[in-house]
Amino acid sequence: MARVMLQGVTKRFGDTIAVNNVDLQVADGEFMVLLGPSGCGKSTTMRLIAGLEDPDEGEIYIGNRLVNEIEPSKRNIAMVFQSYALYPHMTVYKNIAFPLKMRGVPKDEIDRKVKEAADMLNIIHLLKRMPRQLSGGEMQRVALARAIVREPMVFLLDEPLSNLDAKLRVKMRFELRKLLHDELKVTTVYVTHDQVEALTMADRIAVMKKGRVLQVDVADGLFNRPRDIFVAGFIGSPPMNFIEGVVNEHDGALVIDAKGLELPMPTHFQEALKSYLNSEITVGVRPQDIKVFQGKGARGILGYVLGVERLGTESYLHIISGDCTIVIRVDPESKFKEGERIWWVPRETRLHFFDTKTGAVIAKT
Amino acid sequence: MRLSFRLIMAIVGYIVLTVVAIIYLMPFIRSITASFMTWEQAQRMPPEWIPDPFTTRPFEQILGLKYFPVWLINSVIISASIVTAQTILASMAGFAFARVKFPGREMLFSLLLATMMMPGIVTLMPTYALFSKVGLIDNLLGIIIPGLCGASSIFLMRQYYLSMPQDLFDAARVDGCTFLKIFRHIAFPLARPALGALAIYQFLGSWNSFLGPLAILKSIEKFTLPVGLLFAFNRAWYVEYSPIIAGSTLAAAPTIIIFIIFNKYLIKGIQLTAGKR
Repeated sequence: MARVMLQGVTKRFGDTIAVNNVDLQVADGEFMVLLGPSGCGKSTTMRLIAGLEDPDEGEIYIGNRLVNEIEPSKRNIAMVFQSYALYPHMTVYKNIAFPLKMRGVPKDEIDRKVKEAADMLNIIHLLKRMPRQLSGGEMQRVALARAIVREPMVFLLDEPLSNLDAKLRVKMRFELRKLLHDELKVTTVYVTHDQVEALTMADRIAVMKKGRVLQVDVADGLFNRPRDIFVAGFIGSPPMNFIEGVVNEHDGALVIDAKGLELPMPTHFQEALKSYLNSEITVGVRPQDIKVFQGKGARGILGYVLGVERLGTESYLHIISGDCTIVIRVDPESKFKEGERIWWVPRETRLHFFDTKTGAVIAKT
Repeated sequence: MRLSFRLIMAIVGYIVLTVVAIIYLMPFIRSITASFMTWEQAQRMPPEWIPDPFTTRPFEQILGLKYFPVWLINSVIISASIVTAQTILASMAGFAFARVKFPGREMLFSLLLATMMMPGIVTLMPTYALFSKVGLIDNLLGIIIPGLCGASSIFLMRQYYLSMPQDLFDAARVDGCTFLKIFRHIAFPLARPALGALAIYQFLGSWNSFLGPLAILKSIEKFTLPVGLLFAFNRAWYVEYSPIIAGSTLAAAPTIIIFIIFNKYLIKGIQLTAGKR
């Protein structure tokens, strides 16, 4: 068991900076997910931890040991690849036994450990097969068995579920977390671009973009207290609504002038936004944090219905207000007509403010 | 209507292919029939195709040669050494060029490719001069050493290793392999189709090679089969071709057998070198 620590790690490929000055701490036994769109550097970060790439700058620690100069095979890690990377010319048994054999473990011990690992993953009946005779889900299990058989200090998993069909993915998501986190209690770094995977599996999530780690937090923190506009937009489905505007003063109170609509600012933010007077900010509000009013006596900001998406347990109302299109979660029972006038009110406590230029969140003062 | 058009095209295609195949086979058929003719009939114009009288004398002449078994053994020694060395060395070098990062790799590989641009005959004279200084003239090693490894073989193997997924090699590294172990346990066993193609090409090349052995080998007991055959029947004023033809037919037999058994590997080899760079 061990922690993993990255300090100021940078990796360049030619002119592109794949990983840019990344600091990351994964606690002993923690399930850390690296989340981000493709090309954000999450896989490279994992390959740096594995030792498959060498960092240009910075230090990587596994346990208390600086591993920059240490071969992948001596870092006491195991890795599961997106393609599973099973050796096609070896049986399942030999695949699982391979890392032990390379370490010179005695034969009878190899046999015992392989069977133990295979038993844990319910693949005893597959041991004599060749990889090409396996289904995707079975290959996945073999790859996992090959990883756990070594009893490594750290597991690295690179998009391990993305080649499985949707149904199996949900099942394996649950099983993987249970096996790695609850049973083996091994430190795990898990790379994915799928936020649902990240939110359901992780102890903490590191959101990456363009080689940088933007925020490391528990799921709740990322969702409710995003520190960056990218994080705010990336986490949550459908994504947060963003309204760009300029901070203005109106009758002694601060408002935001967005294309064709005026958003009053909550009182607890007035102070923080004062320094942004006349500059551009972005207001974020999630679809579920907006109330909608219809018909006579309604209050709020005027909008027109563009359409409704019905997903069974919930519905999403698309409206246009000023020049902004906004998505609002509504009761699936409610009825809306296209072109209908409605009024919407965001929940004041659930508004997020970002500096449009830097993307950083504007904190309450 | 559409189907019948495709059918017609297929028939036309097969007719063309058959005709071309027959044209290509012609010299081969000719050499088989001619090896059962007297030299007098074989050189008649226009050529005759049916041996009359039917004779096995050219074969008797060949098999009766004192040195025939020696030449055969020489050819086998040379081909076997070259095939063995090429499969081992070229697959190692190809692996290094494909999967091991080292400074100057691309430069070195370009240089290697550049040697492929040079026709072998250009290097024959300098090679001869060099070998005469180190005592490799009239020595089987003088044929074997230049054949131990070749740019085209390295290229073929490199292409094959590049076609394997990188994840396999990464997985092996994480699983505790050094580069040498990756080569031994993963790359080499998985390269069997390419190694098969390489071995066959090298066998064909070294078995049929003529000009190099002709230049380097001097004494009768050192000759390879192709050189020996020409030597044995090269008379003062003419060449007695029917035993040579019979000998060539005999010498070609292993090549033909290998081709029939392994032609899928040969095709694999063509696909490899024709594929991505």
